[in-house]
Amino acid sequence: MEKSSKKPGLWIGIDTGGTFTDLIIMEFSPEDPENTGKTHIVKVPSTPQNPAKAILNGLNKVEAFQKKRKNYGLCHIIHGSTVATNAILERRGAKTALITTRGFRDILAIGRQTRPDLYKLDSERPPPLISRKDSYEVSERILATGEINQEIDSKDLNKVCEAICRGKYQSVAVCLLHAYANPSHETRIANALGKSFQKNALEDLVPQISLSSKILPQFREFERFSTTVLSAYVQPVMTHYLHHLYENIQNQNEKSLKLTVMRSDGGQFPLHEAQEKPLHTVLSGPAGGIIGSKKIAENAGFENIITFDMGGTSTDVSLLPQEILKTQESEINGMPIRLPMIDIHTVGAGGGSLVRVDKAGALRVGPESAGAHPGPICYGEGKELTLTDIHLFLGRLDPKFFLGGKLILDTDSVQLKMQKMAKRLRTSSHELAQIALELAELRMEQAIRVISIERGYDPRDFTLICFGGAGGLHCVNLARRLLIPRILIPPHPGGLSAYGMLFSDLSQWKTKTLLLASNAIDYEELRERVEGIFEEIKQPIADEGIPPEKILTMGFLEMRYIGQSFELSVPLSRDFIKHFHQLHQIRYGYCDEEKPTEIVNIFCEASGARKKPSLPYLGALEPKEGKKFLKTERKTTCFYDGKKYTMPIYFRNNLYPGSSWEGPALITEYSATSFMPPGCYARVDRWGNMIIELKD
Amino acid sequence: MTTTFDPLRIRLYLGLFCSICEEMGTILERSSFSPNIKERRDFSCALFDAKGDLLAQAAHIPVHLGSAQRSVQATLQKFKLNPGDMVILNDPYQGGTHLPDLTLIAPVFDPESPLSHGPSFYVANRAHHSDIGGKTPGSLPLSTKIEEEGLRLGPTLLIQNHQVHDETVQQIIGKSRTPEERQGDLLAQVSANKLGQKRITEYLKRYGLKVLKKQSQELQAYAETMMRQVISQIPDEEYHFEDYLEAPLTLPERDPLEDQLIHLGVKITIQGHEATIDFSDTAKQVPSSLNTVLAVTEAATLYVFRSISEEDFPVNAGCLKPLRIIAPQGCLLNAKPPAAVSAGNVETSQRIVDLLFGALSKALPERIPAASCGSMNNICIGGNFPFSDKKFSYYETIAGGQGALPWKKGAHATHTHMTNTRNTPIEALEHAYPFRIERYALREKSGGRGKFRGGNGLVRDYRLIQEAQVTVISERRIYPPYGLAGGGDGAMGENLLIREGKIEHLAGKFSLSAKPNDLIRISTPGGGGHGRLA
Repeated sequence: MEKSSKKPGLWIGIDTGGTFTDLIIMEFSPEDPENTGKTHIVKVPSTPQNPAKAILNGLNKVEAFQKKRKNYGLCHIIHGSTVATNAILERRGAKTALITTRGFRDILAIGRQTRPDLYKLDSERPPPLISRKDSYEVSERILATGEINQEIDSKDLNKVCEAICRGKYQSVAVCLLHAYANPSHETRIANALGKSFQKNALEDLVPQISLSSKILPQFREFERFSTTVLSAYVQPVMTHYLHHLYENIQNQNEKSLKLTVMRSDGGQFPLHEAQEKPLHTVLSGPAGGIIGSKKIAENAGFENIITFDMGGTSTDVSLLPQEILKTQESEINGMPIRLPMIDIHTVGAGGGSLVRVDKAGALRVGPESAGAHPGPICYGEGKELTLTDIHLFLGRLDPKFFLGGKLILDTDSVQLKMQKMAKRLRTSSHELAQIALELAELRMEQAIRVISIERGYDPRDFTLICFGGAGGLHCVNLARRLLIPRILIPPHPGGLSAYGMLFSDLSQWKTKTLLLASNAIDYEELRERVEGIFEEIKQPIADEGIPPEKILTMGFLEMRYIGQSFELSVPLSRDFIKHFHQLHQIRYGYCDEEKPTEIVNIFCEASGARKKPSLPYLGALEPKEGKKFLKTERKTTCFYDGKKYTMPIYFRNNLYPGSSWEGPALITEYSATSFMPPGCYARVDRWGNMIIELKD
Repeated sequence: MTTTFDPLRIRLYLGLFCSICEEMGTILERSSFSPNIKERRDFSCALFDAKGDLLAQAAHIPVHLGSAQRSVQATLQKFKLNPGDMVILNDPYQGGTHLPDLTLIAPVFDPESPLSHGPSFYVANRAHHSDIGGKTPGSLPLSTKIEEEGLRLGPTLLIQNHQVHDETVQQIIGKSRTPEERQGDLLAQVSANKLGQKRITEYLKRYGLKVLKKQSQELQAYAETMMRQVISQIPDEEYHFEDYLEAPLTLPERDPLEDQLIHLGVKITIQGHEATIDFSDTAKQVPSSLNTVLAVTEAATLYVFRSISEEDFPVNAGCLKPLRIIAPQGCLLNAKPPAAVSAGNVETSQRIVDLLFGALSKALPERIPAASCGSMNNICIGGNFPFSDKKFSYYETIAGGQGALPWKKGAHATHTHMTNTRNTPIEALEHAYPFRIERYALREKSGGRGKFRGGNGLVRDYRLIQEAQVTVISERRIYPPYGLAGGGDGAMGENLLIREGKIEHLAGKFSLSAKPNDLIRISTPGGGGHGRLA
């Protein structure tokens, strides 16, 4: 229950990243209906061996959390975790067994029969998480209709149960053919396993059981098996981690603590559910960034946004036409996960992208990356040129104030390397630098085109929300290429994911395969089915203390023309068939209203709006006395479009609501740098957002 | 080399042109109906210059590499296209590859140039339709002449002055057993071309014809330089190799092995930056569907040279220049009418790859893998749905083992070389067709032995629940995939019929009327091993 206490409370968003763990802490007081309490930001090095340690370190740095603890009431922590993600990437999950239908134990190894790279002779899929010796078969068969064709062979089942008890497994995935249409055999196997665990008195080592009919009741066996097995594989790890984290935080302070966990689809769920469905958290960090972008943009008055998050090795882009778009087609390390996630498109262009000359003598940028090690030349250890080096060369990074001055960048080595490469390409270092940037920007432009123009959206109707360390160096050029009129760079762009977590809602979803011709079922019947699912998924939200009238529900139909293989998601309405044709026209340039359609899956979602903080308001737009003029730290020289400019460097911390200036200028802050070329104007709004306008 | 390219900006041009092809491909893949297009990604989208030379291509399956160029050139010989026209063709002897591949070609006009100058560019896409009216359901009959393989169309106007030619459409869909599917696929193909036209027009407006023309020439020069670079890494010498295809009309118990095998021989001569690939020592065209037209032979050759390159590079008209391909007309690899060619794309193309890699393994022993499975193991099942007149037609290919590499073992159950078919999910096909899959498993110990083992093939059991015609076209049933450097051969494939408890061995290529409860078991070949066992 969300208690109303007289004491002020705390909201804490925590994003565990690969290098840093970010904490955003907001205080709220019952006397302040606007909830515009103080905001603290804490950044601590991550501790991958035990991610909870970094979180505890971070919390210890929060004064409000520690010293004055008695003065605070509820403390609500929303956590985005990479524990499940890393367990998969590093293959450090639980010892897991698979139980499947006789004849199909190799489904994971076979995959879809394809190789990931067409022209690499040693191209190979990643090996399955569960090897053949840990895969068990049971004679049984369910048909596509859900009809039982062959009952479970009890002898087989007993043997398998015994083998599993002997095998010291921590987790078991049960994946039978057509279980989405009839889960009874999976349930029977789960019951038999349960009994045999009891009989064999496994005590503290009782394996957890995951059923494909529960995790993802959708057809297409490989994708369902893969999702279920991934879930089983990370579940013991995640359960342990979250339990440990909760206990430790609780031990540090006895105030009323509530811990919820961020999901990849942008919603959040209570701790116990996260322990049951750990796979839902794999992309929770990026999801936080999208939720944060949406909140900040809405607040600033922009509804349609494209997010642009450029990091060291890759760039993530996402399009939000007033709403968050989701997809179920994602994968981790080549293994499919069919769970809803925010639709984020990734391309291999980042600050570490290598700038090199190929065998035919042509200049290339990426997708290969120098990564964190050895990194760019200017960081001191790299040997090959990267995009970051190019930016330094062009005067778009301040060599003396990188990471707050903690790292002095090596300009000389970069220049030397540039001269060499330019000579080889028979050009000047400046031209080389300029074209290298264009190559990188072309790739980013194409990434945004894929999610906008190719899907029928016009970038001119959108605002670009730019975050991540390197995004600010490319955003203006990128917006110019795509005719995006405006860019918003939020305050603390490095901590946006943790920030966004504070604004996510408690939500639930459920999907069910239907596979029915659209004319075989009418709207009323669909409505009825959807309502039934709504009742199911509203309950856990109500259990968290959200009043029923505050729970929103949405039903979607995943449809296609009969005979197609890919579905489009249409909101459930009386005109759903018409909407499908319209959407098909937008996405693929044609539709045929005569052609029969079918409904593949029903997708239902419920979300309960929690009490949330408001965005901190930094003050009126009139600059305060004495701060009328922007404080220029230094001047520096930069090159743009072949011309040399002298431009000011501003510290982001010294910018105030109402400040405005024009390019060229460089804006530096702790973990990010933004470059404004000539011909654009920027201002700071009352929430501290930097807004760059490109219209002349 | 006549043209050079701007080494700084060439990848910018490439990015622009390729993204158009990729975007066209997205439309085709996601909105089409044929399993071959949406699951096999058996399609390609390409751009051509005013002469009909290939500029850029998104080939989602290597068997299409470079081959649409012949379609555009055949079209240009026959038509002078106007705005609003679109041409369709599938005749292998007039710019096509095999009949199920329908190619659509459309012109792009520069908005600033007078119409009389003709098109400045062309866009084309080619997609494999699942039924084009051959003598058995699916697109791969056991044919001996092209007439048995279905509708044959030379370059024909599908759309003229924005008006669809209904007769042409009727002609195509009327021949097919699944007309609705044909119509849907054609619509997706037309849409993809229209999108390509729109995007090039946008570029023409943005950069102007002169600039784009120059970029086009440079792209061809760049690809040519890349190809020359690849060839120059191979020591100057002559390399020979031979391998075999399996004749369909022979019987293992009746005919001696040599009568069952069709000989393929190659001589590769490397001279500096140029290569001559001479297939003269190859059998004459045969009365079976294993023949190929030159477009397919070229595609397989391009694939081999591209895959031995350490760097990816664009495929366009430029990279064909340093390659001289000799295949006498009337031989298996450059067939003339009325030779049947439907299996040439799927089976013979794989053997050409084995042949070329076999030869090059002597030149680049540290790079070339042992032979992979060498067959796409094509299966077609067609008949009526239970209690209904409605027909069904199912086609799928089954993967085999990958050949071991000089540095690592081969992958199991993977489509290799000229194809990269996704399987149809069992749960999807049992939903759609009246048969069941009872086993889908790795075929143990089928990979060739060696220091590095070849990958294992697959076993797939089909249980029929309805009478149906089952047609299989498979290879490597009597002549195994080779191992290299002392590694063992991969296991040969095997096709079985289990009827009322009795096991019957079937030929590599067969078509039979199956009864309810029959079980068809397809075991696919493993990959060859590499290196002697220590």
